[in-house]
Amino acid sequence: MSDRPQLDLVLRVLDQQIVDWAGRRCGNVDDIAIEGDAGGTATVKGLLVGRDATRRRRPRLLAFFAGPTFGDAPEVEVSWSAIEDVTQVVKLKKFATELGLAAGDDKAAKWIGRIPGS
Amino acid sequence: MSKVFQISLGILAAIGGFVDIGDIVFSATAGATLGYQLIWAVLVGAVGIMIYSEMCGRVAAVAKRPVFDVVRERLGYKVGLTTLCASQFVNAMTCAAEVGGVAIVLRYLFGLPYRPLIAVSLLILLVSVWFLPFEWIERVFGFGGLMLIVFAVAAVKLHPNMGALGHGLIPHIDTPSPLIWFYFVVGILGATVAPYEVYFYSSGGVEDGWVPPHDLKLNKLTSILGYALGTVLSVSIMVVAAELFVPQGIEPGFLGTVALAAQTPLGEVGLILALLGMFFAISGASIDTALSGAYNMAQFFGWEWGKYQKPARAPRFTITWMAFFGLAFLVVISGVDPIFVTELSVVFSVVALPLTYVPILLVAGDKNYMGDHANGRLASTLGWVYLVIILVVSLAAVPLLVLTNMGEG
Repeated sequence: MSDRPQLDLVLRVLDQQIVDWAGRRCGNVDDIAIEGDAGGTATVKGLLVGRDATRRRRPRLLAFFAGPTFGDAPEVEVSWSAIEDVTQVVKLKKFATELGLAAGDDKAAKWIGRIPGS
Repeated sequence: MSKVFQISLGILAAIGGFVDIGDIVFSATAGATLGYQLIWAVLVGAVGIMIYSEMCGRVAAVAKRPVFDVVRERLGYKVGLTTLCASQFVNAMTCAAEVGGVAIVLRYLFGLPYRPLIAVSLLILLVSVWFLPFEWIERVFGFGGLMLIVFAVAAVKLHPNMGALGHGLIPHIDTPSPLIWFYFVVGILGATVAPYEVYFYSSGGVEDGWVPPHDLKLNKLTSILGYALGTVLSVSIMVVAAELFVPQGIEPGFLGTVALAAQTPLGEVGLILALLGMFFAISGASIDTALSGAYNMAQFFGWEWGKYQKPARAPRFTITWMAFFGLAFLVVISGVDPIFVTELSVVFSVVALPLTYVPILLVAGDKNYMGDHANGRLASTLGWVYLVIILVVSLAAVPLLVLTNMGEG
């Protein structure tokens, strides 16, 4: 068995909270992009975030509830090289806006920001 | 702030926050219908919520994970989304019932028309959540809810039959309609182990930045003592209803009827304290359900969340709790009876319970996550025993609702 550190992608990465460099929550890992040919070596390319990334795992009966993007991009791919660490969350090396994440929060903030005390 | 003071605050807030419109309605109606027969059910439910709240608080402190984080991770996207939809449906119904309950109590207090008071209730709740910091929401509404202690005083003053009360600790069926008995068991368990309580509690633990080992003690004390003392309030309402309503054949179909039960032994002061206690307890529960709905959405979809954040820093979270209040307003203003919505929401919440509690139990027992703080043998055994109870109750809930015509027979 290899001595290299191992990471269970399904248990420790898939569906985990993503946090950007500033500590801002900016999505969950909706799928993992893996590249490689059948029989060859598979390499993790990056993380997929957004509605379209959940399409294969979405229950048909509840598709309506999983349909909206809530202002986010339908799908964003975050390169594995942009990941700082995987602990209880997936921590990024960059800010969410640089990667196109949390766009929905940015849009909603413009509305909420108009209310006194926001 | 001293640790003792902090712990006391947590416990007191938990007592007041334990009782909501579902507890009040089901405790009073069960007491009026079946006397002391279901006191054991309140205790069984209380132990269940203590076990699962303690687990949720521990997971929040050690793994920094609120419930819906855990739900999605352990159940996956498909089952997680199903759980989210079920929980949000129940949260929305419960929130509607609570908002309607606040308006009803305001009507009793001020004698104004009901419909405008629904709008007033909505405004009070929106302003409270917008301006009050998290800990003050807990304290104002938790402490205010403590006025419900008036029911404990009323119960003592009524000199209940201690033999019958003791007999109520042992499950027994003494009614010609066993299905009604089972319906109220489901209702009491559902109202006591309401899922929104653990969503709110665990998210609050993460928001408060709980860290082991100090906050684990706080968590244990809050969930055990707070809920235990909250149980006293539920049992007191049941006792008062049994003493006053059973002999007269009264069914407390209105919140005011329950409040009147405090007036009989304690006079007008009792009535006012009971109504004020209800106002704070039900308002607190409205806020808990709306925030729980927002916590669940944000955690499932990975949005920024938190009441400690300025609203503009967690905008979709903020919009979601506002939407819950708005939806609740629309449901209640449409003319639906809040007591009817309460009974439905409690019974349907039972159906959503297993999906909420399975992932908590799995994570709380996972040594990779929890290390030395993972469930021990006792917590694990109790957790699984309660999961079986919850599963049985959840399977029986809807058939009993239909067969008993919502407890009407």
